[in-house]
Amino acid sequence: MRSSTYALPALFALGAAAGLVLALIADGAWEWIACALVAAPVVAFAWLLRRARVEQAANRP
Amino acid sequence: MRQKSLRRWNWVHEWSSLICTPFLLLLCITGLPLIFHHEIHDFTVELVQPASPAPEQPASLDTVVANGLAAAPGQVVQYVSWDEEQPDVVMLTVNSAVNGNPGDASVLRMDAGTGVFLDRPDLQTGVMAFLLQLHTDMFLGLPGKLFLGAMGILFCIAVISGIVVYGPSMRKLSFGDLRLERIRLIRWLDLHNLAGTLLIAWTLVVGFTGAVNTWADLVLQVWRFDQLTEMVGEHRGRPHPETLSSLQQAVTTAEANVSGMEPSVIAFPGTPFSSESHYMVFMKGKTPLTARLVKPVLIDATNSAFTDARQAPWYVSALLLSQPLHFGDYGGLALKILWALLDIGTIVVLITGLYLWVARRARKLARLSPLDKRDAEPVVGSKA
Repeated sequence: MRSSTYALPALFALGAAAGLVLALIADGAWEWIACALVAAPVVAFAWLLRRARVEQAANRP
Repeated sequence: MRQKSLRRWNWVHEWSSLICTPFLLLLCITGLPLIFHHEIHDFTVELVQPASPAPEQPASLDTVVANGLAAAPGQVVQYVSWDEEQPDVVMLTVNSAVNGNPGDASVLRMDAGTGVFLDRPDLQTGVMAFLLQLHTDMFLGLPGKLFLGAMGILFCIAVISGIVVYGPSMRKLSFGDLRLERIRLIRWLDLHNLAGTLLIAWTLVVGFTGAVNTWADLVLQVWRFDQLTEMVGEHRGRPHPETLSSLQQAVTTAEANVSGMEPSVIAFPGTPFSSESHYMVFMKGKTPLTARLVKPVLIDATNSAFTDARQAPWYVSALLLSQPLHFGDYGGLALKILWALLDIGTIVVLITGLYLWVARRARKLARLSPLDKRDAEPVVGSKA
């Protein structure tokens, strides 16, 4: 899935769009689910950045 | 994708981004504190709190208005409104005349339970008011708003063209690859691509709803001259009543005629959103979605009788729904914090994009040989 150019970006975009709309109409637990969907790209960015840093440190002679 | 087509998309991405980037940076930076506008206001301004516990029966709106006018001698009430975040407070917008300049209006906070005047917060000055105006129209009024709206649309074009050019640039890479060991240009390109692709949905939603919000003045004008004028119909031209009927009775009449809704804003007779002889009560729903939408109810201000009620047109509903999607104030503090993080992410995309353009241009110039450079320079005095 990671090798596909658009699969993961599309998944994150659809999830975030659904989260934004869901937060507008939802109440209670659904509101938290909506927030999680909106937060997913932020978490993914932080995780990928950290992973790249760890790999860079491991490859350093 | 064909080379020619890709070059065109690259050109669209480059120039749409370049033109809107300075303004988008301004909007993202000023927008960051505005996300927490309410929290900052509550923290920095000492507001008088309403009586606690609130009385079981709220004060009559007629008492609230009378107490407000006593606290603001020589002024008249233009609007009565309620704020979801302060349910125990009623706000009165007062001005020197019912059709007075909006810039001269001020807000009185009233205790909804006791009807007592609380305070008159200064909303026109201070750092937050400055940032808000810089963010909405750059102190240029409607032309400034429309210009920023155009920049919002250009930003959306930059995001869409960015999606197209992202594909070919990622041919040899997997999603999320960050080549941190490479030169800065490559590192920042990867960072730009990753942050940009992850923020596609949010940037498109906030960019487009921001552009829609810049048309708010025009949309409201169209609504006034379209539906609201039609509602007044045969009552147009009736003089302003010498004595206004009971406001509380007007709200009770509106609630009786529109079930399952509550008042959100009341426009007094003579204001731009009503007639000379009517209250316009804007009712809102009680569910998370319908609370964002309004239904205008026209009430005769001579006897508080029901005159007309309509469903707001689609363009007003679209505007009202676009507002929370732009401000991010509809999901509590958690969503506001997320909004701030996504805003910072957008700043990263903008700055890395700008750096990539400058660095690539510098490299291109450096690649020109001294002979080429001499050829590229215009010859002084030549006709070419």
